Amino acid sequence: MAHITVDNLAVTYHKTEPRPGLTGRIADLFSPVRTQVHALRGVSFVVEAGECVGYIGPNGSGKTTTIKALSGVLRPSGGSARVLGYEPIGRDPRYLAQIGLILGAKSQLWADLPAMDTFLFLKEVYRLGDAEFKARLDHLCELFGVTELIRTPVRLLSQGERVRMQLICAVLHGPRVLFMDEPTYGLDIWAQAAVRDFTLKAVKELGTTVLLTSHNLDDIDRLCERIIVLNEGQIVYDGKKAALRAQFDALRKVSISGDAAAALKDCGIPREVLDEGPEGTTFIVGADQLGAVHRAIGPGASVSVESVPLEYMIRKLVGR
Amino acid sequence: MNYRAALQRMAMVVKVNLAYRWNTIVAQIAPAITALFMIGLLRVTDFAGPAVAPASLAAYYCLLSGAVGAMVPAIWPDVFAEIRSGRVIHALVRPFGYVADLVWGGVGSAMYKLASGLLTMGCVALIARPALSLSQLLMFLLLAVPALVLSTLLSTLFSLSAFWLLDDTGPSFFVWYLAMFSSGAILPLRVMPLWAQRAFAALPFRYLIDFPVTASIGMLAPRSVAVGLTVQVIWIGVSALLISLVWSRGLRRLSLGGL
Repeated sequence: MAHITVDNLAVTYHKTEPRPGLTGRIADLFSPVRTQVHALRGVSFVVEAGECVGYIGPNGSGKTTTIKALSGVLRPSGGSARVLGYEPIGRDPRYLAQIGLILGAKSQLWADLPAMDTFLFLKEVYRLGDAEFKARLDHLCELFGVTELIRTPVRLLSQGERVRMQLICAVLHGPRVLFMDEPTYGLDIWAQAAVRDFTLKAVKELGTTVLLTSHNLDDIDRLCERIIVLNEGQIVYDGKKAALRAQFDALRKVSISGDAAAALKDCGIPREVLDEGPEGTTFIVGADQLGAVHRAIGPGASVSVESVPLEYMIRKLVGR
Repeated sequence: MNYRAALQRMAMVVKVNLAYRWNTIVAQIAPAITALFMIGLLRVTDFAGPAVAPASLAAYYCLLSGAVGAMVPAIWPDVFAEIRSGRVIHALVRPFGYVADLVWGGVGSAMYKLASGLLTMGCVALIARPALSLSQLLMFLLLAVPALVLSTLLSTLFSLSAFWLLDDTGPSFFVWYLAMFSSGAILPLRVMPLWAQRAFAALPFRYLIDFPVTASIGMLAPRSVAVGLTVQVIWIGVSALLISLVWSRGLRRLSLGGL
């Protein structure tokens, strides 16, 4: 059963371009220069119940715009979107009670109050019973390791602790669909792991549908079987991660240490250098060229051969 | 309407204000000093003329000392900062809208200010000994409730200008200054020239201060109190309607133009 259905979704808005200089700014007061921005240009996809889909792309590709449109914050200028059978922009309270939104860089916590006060407010907003609230909060606090911190004013918490509290706010009511926009933004490696553990549990044990955007491709790699790659407001790939890997199966990522790397300089093996320096070189080469690489650098050199990383695949897909 | 969430929101605002420790009390000192000054002035001059008895005027300023901070629309909240911080987005995706958040938070804040104003009111009463009975004080507190609601609605309405101006401090200062003058926060309206009384009667601000204060200290006939209450309720309805219209326009602008 589809939880999210997006059909030819377009979001276009106008932005004002300030003229340079003081006189330009004064002129802007009377006749601002408006330009049209096509944030989304006919995006279509379906997310089934219980799927965790990675929604990735470079800055400005339209990821957050899609999430805002699906959570009812932005009004689409074309196409349609339905989530759990609702049109998001209607912001039906029954719909809002079933979704959660995590914006890694934005907070709904009150800085001068302990997080517990925000949790108590959300308990009433989502009409949670006392027992249900306590069970969920205890579980989430334990999961994120913040049990001791929920009565500390938020402004006294570290960035990572605040983000964890923010995550608890987003999922306290047990949403069926979770929109996660950069959920590991600003988190240390332990908190990142906790977010991933939580997301995996939410998907596998609770059947939560997750649409996840992240520039941290580790998140995507570990959590999502399916990815949607967006570039300049259009989908350039939608499919299983394994299928994408298969497209790049004929390539390998090779890393060679400094001395041996020099031997490769004029060997004529076609390769795409990713990184080069005194420490060594890292490049992408055809799997059928690995023998030639080994022969060129000679025995005893320090070489590592890996499959092509997801980051490389995404770069190729978006052409940057 | 989710009243439990509304009460919780009000409680949060009170807790935030308590976290700011003596901040609100410090703010109340200025109206208290002004009230004492005006009561003192009353004893040496006849600035009010025959329109109001000096004893009533002293009671007026005593009540005013605790009410101004709560009942004059404040420069609150900074909607655009809340858009930037993400609080608006989060409010939009939960089943307790941003306007409800603003209004209930505002009412909670105003009630807290009025409660702390009782302290300064008490100090002014101890020093100036105005002719103010307990029943008049209770009447005032009763009439203050719709005034607080109206004040919050007007604050919310003008703060929504942030959708167009990116910053609401201009309109908020405008409305605060106008309200200070036309609500009776500086002079009771009946002390002002007739043309000013007529002009200010057309604005909602007199129902924030002048009406509840003059009604509670017996300066208005019972019929005028009933009419005043009716007009106050009408202004509350009009403000709520205007908020609804401005909010839907602003939200459309926000949701079309991005955040």
